Amino acid sequence: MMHENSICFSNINQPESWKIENYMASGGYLQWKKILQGQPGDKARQKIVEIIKTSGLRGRGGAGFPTGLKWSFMPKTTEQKYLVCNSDESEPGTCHDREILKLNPHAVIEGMAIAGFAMDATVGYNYVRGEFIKDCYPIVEFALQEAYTHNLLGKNILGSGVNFDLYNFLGAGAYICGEETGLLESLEGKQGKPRFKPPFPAKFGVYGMPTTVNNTQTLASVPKIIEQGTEWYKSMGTDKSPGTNIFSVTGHVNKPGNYELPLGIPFADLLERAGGMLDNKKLKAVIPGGLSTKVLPGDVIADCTMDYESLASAGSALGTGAVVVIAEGTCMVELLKRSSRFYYVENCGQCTPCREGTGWLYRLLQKITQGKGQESDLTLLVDVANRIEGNTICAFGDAAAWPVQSFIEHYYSEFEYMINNHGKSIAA
Amino acid sequence: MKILNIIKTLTLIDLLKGLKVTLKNFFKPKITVQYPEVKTPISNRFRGKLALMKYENGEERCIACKLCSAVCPANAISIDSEESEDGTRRTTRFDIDAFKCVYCGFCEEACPVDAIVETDIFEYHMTENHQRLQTKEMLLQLGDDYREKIVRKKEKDHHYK
Amino acid sequence: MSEPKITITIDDQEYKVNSGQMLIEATDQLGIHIPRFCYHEKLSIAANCRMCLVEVENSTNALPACATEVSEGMVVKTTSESAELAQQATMEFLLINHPLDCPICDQGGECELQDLAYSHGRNESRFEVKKRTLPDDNLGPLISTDMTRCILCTRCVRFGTEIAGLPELGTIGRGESSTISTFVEKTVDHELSGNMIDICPVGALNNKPYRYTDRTWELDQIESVSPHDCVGSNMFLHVKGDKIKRIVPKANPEINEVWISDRDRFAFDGIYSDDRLTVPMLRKNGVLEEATWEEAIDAFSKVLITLQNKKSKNGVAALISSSTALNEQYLYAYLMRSLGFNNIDHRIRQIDFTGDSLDPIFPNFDIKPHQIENMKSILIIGSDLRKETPLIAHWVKKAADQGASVNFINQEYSEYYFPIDNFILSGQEALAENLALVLKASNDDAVNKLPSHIEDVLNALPTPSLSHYQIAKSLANHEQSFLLSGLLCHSHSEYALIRSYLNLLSYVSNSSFGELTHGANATGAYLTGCIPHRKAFGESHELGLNALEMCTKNHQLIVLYGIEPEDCLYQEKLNQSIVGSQTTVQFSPFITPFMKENADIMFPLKTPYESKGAFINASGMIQDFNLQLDLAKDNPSNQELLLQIIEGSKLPMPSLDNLKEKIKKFIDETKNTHNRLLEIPEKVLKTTKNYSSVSSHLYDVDSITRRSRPLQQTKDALSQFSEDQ
Repeated sequence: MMHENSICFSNINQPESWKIENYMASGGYLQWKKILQGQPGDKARQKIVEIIKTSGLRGRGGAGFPTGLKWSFMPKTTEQKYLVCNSDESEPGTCHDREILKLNPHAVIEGMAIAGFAMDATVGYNYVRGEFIKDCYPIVEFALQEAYTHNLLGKNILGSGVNFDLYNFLGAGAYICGEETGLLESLEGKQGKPRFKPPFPAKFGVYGMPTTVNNTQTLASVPKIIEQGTEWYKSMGTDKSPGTNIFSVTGHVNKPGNYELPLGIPFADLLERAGGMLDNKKLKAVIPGGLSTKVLPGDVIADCTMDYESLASAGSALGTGAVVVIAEGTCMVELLKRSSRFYYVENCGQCTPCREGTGWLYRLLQKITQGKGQESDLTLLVDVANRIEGNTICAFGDAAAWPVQSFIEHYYSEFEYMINNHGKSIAA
Repeated sequence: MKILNIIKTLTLIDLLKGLKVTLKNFFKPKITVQYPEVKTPISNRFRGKLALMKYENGEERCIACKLCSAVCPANAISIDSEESEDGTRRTTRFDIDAFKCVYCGFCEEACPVDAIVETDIFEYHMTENHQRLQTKEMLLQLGDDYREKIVRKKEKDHHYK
Repeated sequence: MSEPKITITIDDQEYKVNSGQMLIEATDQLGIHIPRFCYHEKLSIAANCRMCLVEVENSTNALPACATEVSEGMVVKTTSESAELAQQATMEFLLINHPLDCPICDQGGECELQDLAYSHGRNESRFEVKKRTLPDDNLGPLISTDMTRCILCTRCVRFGTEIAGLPELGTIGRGESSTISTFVEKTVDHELSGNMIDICPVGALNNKPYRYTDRTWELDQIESVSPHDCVGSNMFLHVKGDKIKRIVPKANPEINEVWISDRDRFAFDGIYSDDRLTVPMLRKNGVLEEATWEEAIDAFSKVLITLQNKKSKNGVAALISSSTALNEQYLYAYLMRSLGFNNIDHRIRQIDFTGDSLDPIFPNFDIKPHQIENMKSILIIGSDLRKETPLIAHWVKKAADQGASVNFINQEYSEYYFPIDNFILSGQEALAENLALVLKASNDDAVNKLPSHIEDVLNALPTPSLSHYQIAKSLANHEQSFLLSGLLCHSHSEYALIRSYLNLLSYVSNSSFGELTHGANATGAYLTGCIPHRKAFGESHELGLNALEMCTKNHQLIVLYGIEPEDCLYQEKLNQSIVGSQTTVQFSPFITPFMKENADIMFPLKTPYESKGAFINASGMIQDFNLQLDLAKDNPSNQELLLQIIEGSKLPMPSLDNLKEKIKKFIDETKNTHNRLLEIPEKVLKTTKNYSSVSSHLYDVDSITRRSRPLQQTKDALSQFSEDQ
């Protein structure tokens, strides 16, 4: 397909693509320099926001909020403003930001510089996931130093009068810090406990100042969009979901990996690119957007295209684009138990429904897999999940509830079978 | 009429009629008992003198929650409590005023740990005013002495609760 | 001031509410109850308990009322199906890991969780696995913990950071293993920390001395006023029978907000001390033994009458505690003055009396305690504020948190949990000078100029430093400025000079002035005439001996009312005077070995916790306390005792009718005309003796706190003990 690896992964096949010379050789930092050498004033800022708005770029962190709109929410005041890049990529199944940071870190830096300029945020933070400490963080640090030595960051960059300081911040490995306000708290050195919204970060963000939080992939897409123009960008993907997305395909496929493809490609195509089903098994189900989205049975997803709207109408979401492919023969109860354990361990413990409810869900599923379950436990499971959903400060509660609701909705018989057969799985 | 009355009087018919009732009842089974030699049966739910129970290992059941004294309609129970050496909540005083107690059994129902129970003892007396106060020691002693009986009684009634 | 009103609809009824507030504040004002755990009106919003979820139109999810701002046209349903479902969900989640130990929990009966479990809980539990349990922390001698009961509302954490300023508790861990804890086995030592007991909605933090003793429904609640400092915190005594079981705060937004200090909360334990005196004692044949009331009163009256007949005015020394009630002070002063004895004083922690002629009619704050919050610039001189009056420190902290400039001149540094602009650390000998330098700096460009003879004095001083200028500037620049003199000033050898300088500074910088006083009723003592140079209501009078002079002499009769020698700053001197005097009479709730050896007559007093009366706090607010507990039931009240002595001394009976009203009226009349003299004392007392460093121990302020077992086990008390060693 012609649009493969066209944006964030455009240069990853070059040797040592993370180095600034190589990035610059393929046209990197040209846009940033152009902005600096033009007339970097309010008009230029306005123009960039406008470009991003018309390009239709949507946040790749999971919710898919239009990026240009988000940028325009930043107040036009003179107070200190911040830009934060959310590289705390911890959604199970997702691994594309890591590849961007490892192979194309300068795209993120340039994207942040441009975004920071567009919103008049003179300080940026790149919040990198704690687990990236070994393979990813050194590269990001290296790239940042390179950008500084080339005078592409800092005070009065290239004599333009524009300031933008960028800092990398290494998290400590908590899933909840991927939630934007939890991330801000963590960035301030506090416990990563999400804040109640409103006030939104655009009004009260890091250190109480206006802040925009964007995903790594979103920011890495910015330079390319500005370089190639909105028309080019919109030529990929669908009307409402333009552009490309990196799909992290995992699970029972022959070639799991990251695939940068235009949005809206049929699921069948994506599966084919990933080498098809492992051992030619039959497709049973797909979790299309990371663990926190609802599971879709194989026959439902087979008719879907991979974009925000199609998946939403099928009852799930594109999420982070982490496609977990599940083949026939997998025990859905065990799978749900495993994912429930994740939410049980990773919730911040701040609000009651998550703190108490996730443990309850996990223990109920544990009970079922141990063969001690009763029919009534299934109603209870759904009921507990319903009581968590929507009642928490951040979306974590929803993320913990949705798998339970969707697994039981689609695979009730498997749960029932296990309960009636003292823990024996229907898949075995 | 007069003659008939005279005959009735002379033949003592009314007397015999009365004697017939006497004679009939003379051979009927008796329903009175020779108390105190003989006693009437007592219901499992009989509400008699109060006692305090212990666990099988000898630990007091009472945790000084004072729900019994709160529910008591006659204010018959007075309790003082403090933290015991092992950190548990224990009574230092548990007095029941026998003159005030109306044997309603609310205390037994309020007790969350089945510490205060009603025995089927109803025969007791006192000769001095101060003896009306049943102290914690007396109540525990009563519980120890009648333990088996109380347990049997409660077990029988258990199904109806 | 009034904000624009907006209209919102709650449960199908329209209301006008102020904008800018949270929904729960609006409903609280309207009397509509929304259940809550983490929300507390004095703390920041956490929105983590999820109990106050309500249905708001046009919102997909239920929203927390505590964190949702009211907006025009908002339609709220607090009891709709979805709101109730959300609340019930939260309640079920809270209860799954909450122990079912209400029968032994001290919170039982006053527990917010218990109450709401009745209205929002399920009848039976659906949670079948093991409940979570947690080990308990040792937070010190005042607060007991049962962490398993904790519902992690974080009120205590927010109290620490926001009210106390010292984050002593925090959340540790995440998810289900979150706990509230101190940082590695620490205790909770802040002097306001006892308030965590009240704000904890469940039984996780509880009153340690009260632990497992009584249930809430057994207790009667009686209003009272704290007798331990000059703030006059309002509180409730919780009483069972004739015994105080615990003390909780009574909200008074002008004095103590909703808090009380640990001293006010736990000191009452002292009245149940073993050395409590319950019967009068009389020395017969050299031995102090129990006597009847008649005997003791007779004996005392006889001594008084004999001395009156001898006309030995100066043979009698009468000291009285500044923590006694107004009526007692009045009667005591009446007794002594009517018999012609002029040596009467309550200022047993003062050594400099050279400024008596410049004394105000009564010492008081120009403002009420809560007005400190509005001050923009505050200068505190000679005070270990947190220990002297924890609640004044609280108000100062509130002002500082709102951006006020707070400055200190003190002889030692103590820690404060709010920003301080300047802290001039001055030796005791330089305290007055440092103050004078601020005055000098202020006078340079002041509107109100000082009299020239005072300027001459100031001109002789060295040039003020930058800090002095900064303080002066801050006081001058803000209309709302406040000078606060602490208890260390009272005990200072140049007290008179310091106070004069403060008066002058207050005049020059146009600031309000406040003077902290020892005891709960020093203002009352001034107004009732318990000072050697004035009678009741400020009438001047023939001068008697002051407290220090009394203590340095031997007398024919020395009377201590509510005083133990330990209360006195010059205890050694007082002890010698007691030993050297012919007759010693003590009115006291307690008996010490020393007094047992030296007293000739002892009358048991009832403590302020057990008697009726009124205190006047530092701001001149008269507050009643109306309890009559009877420790020894047949004993007369303090007032009756004094009246009997007056009767025995053949004096006309004084009228106590309307005493309080008269004093209140007098305060109101004189407060505004209360002209502070722009003068400095002629003589300046300079002694090398250092008395003042001993004056500010948190838990050694009076005979009751000294005997309170829980307070004496606190870190503050123990560290004092090790200092004394």
